[in-house]
Amino acid sequence: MWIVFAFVGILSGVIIAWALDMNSPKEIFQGALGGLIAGILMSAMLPH
Amino acid sequence: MSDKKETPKIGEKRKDSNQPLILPGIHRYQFFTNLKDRGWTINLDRVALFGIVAAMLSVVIKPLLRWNPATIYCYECRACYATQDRCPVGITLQAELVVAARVLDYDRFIRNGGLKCIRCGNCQSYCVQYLPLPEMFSVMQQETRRAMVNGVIPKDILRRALSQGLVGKEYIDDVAKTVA
Amino acid sequence: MEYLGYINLGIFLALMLSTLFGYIRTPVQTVLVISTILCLIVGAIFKYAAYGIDAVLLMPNEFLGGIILHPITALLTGLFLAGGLKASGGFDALKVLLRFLRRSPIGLVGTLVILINLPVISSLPCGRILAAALLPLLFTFGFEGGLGILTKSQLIVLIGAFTRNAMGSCGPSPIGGVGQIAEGFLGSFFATASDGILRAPQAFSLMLGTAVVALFLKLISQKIYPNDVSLREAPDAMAAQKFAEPEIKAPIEGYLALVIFVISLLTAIFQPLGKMPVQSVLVAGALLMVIVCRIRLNDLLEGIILLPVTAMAAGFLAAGALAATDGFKALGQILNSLVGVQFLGVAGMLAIFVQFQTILPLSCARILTAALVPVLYLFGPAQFDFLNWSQLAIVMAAYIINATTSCGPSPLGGGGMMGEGTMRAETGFIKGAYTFASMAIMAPMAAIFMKFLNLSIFQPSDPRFLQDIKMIAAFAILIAGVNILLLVAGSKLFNKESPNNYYIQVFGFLLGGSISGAILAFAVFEIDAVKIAQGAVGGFIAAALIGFMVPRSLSKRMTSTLSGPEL
Repeated sequence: MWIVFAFVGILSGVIIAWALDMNSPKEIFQGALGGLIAGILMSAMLPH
Repeated sequence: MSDKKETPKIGEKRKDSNQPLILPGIHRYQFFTNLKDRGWTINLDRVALFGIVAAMLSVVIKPLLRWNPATIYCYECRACYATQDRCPVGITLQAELVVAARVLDYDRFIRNGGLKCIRCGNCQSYCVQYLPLPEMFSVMQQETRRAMVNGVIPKDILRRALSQGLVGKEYIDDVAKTVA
Repeated sequence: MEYLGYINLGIFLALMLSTLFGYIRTPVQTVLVISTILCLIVGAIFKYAAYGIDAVLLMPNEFLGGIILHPITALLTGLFLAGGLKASGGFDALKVLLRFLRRSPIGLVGTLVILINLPVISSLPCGRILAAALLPLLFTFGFEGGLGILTKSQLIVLIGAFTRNAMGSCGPSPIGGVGQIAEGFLGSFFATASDGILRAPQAFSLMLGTAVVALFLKLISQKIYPNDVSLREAPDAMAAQKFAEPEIKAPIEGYLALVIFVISLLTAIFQPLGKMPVQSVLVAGALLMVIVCRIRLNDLLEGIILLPVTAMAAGFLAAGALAATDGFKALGQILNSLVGVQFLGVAGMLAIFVQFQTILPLSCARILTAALVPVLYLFGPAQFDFLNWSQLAIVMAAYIINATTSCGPSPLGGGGMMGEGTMRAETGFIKGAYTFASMAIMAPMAAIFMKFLNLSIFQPSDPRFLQDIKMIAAFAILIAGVNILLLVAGSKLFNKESPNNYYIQVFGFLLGGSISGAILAFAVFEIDAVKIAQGAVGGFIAAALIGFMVPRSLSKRMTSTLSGPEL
């Protein structure tokens, strides 16, 4: 399940970074990284 | 707003052009609850607030006075419904019984099969807090029996329970006697 | 007696709509109490006629059963902890930690993304617990809060997205969350339902929905209502020169309070000491703060905000009165009768049903969920047989995420108002974003996730697994993509003409609702053109009900409210 959460985490991280006016490639990458961590953490808290 | 601070008439549209139209889905109910607007309803508001607080307090105090305090802890998350056919007498909505026990709602208790319960404890293992459901139901069963004897519960409710098979053998004599 | 429910449902809806459109101008909690009293009076007359005085005397007990204590006490304990953290310097300690994170490879934006998703990661039984504790911290990121890292626009997006994530996190919570109400019912078929069959779909769709809310706030809300938020930007002179970040130091008590806070949360979620109420754990944490961090009991009490508590209780009272007088039974029958309407059918009715709590958002999702989930359950094999068990699980997933997120846009002391207060916004500012995301993103996404992952054989070696993962990824991109396109196109088309903007939004709203209904119908009935069309019609009607249950513009009546005579 973590794969889909990681995927949507990255997707949401990129969208949030852009919504926060942080548009440089570095910031978008950092947003994706933050989203990836959030997605994996979220998946880890769920029943498997 | 003008300096004269005139109160606009009810029903007219605002004339200022910079007032945006409201976005679909936006709920602005709280515009009506502006403090300045409360003049004619201030006592009504006070009574309403008193009613809300009194209702909340009674929900907490009642179970304490009736020796059924554990009912206060129920999250009403309904995880106990997962008991399903593991309940030997076929009660499906256990949380309803807990709420009924908390507020002494006899109709709700009987309607959901509270008088059928044999307190086996199978539903307890599904409770996210492992609350003592059999004890709660037992206390409420005694309360219901007392209310029946005192004639507090309308006979129609008991008749309906009898006809739908909602009374266990432990209580069937009491119910039959009351209805008769 | 059969008319009692319809009459009381009519009274409740008439009072709510009159308040909404400005014909009744009192606080909403007063209106809810009036609704309770009227319903009880009408109920008493009917019950007296049918069953006699004994039935009337039992009515107070019946309507008090509507009060659900759990969210009220959970909110109070959350506010308690927030008060303790504030008094002990815990927020300063958190700022120091965040500064450390910001300087790590994930940077500021990565830190903010994690912070925004923290409520769903921790999944407490009421989103207000974490919101009460962390919203003051988010405020400090702005110029007025002291750190000055974010601009006004960024702060609006941050607070709005965080609050959205929080006011939905009660859904996937395993410790008394709203989703468990439906999991309990699904347990009669899915043996492991009570372990959390609905948690993953909810968490998944909330994550995506949060991102779309962030985008909505940036592209739509701020453009339409540029003056609705009274946060200030940093003065030009300060903004021009690199804003010197003030040196933050936290007292040792602050770090201790933070450690106690985190341990309390983890203990409440994982329950390593055995099953116990989350409130008890949090109060124990707060008392530990009093002892270890040397704060006063008064500091804890200062954290409490009463309005959301009383508004929520008033909502429960009104719902309790409706339940005691068959109001919800009547609602169930009305929804059931929609199946007979040719252009709606089962698919259209379900598309409206799943959006019902966003159409009528109350202060706590539990108010209506407790009444409507049993109705939905009866649509399955248990009674009406409109749906089989798998289809019921899909509809439950969509309904529950829509329900749990409904306290966000609720104007009756809903959680979203905490976010609006923190960003100093007019009431209603962030609610358009919330309703749109619940309707157009979260409900269909949860249904898709349930269909393609939760219900399939869940093993990596299964060939369907990879296919299902691909399907979910494709739908996530499709649903998010279409809606993002709608938002971007809408924001480009806006101009100074208010009516023009309004019609663009209406079009976008209705289109979003129709697509959502169609996707839901596809998830439930697969490729069936008639059903998908019926779902789209149902979604259209639901979107219209959500969108138009508001006055089109502020009338004089409301203006007089705003500028009425002083007390």
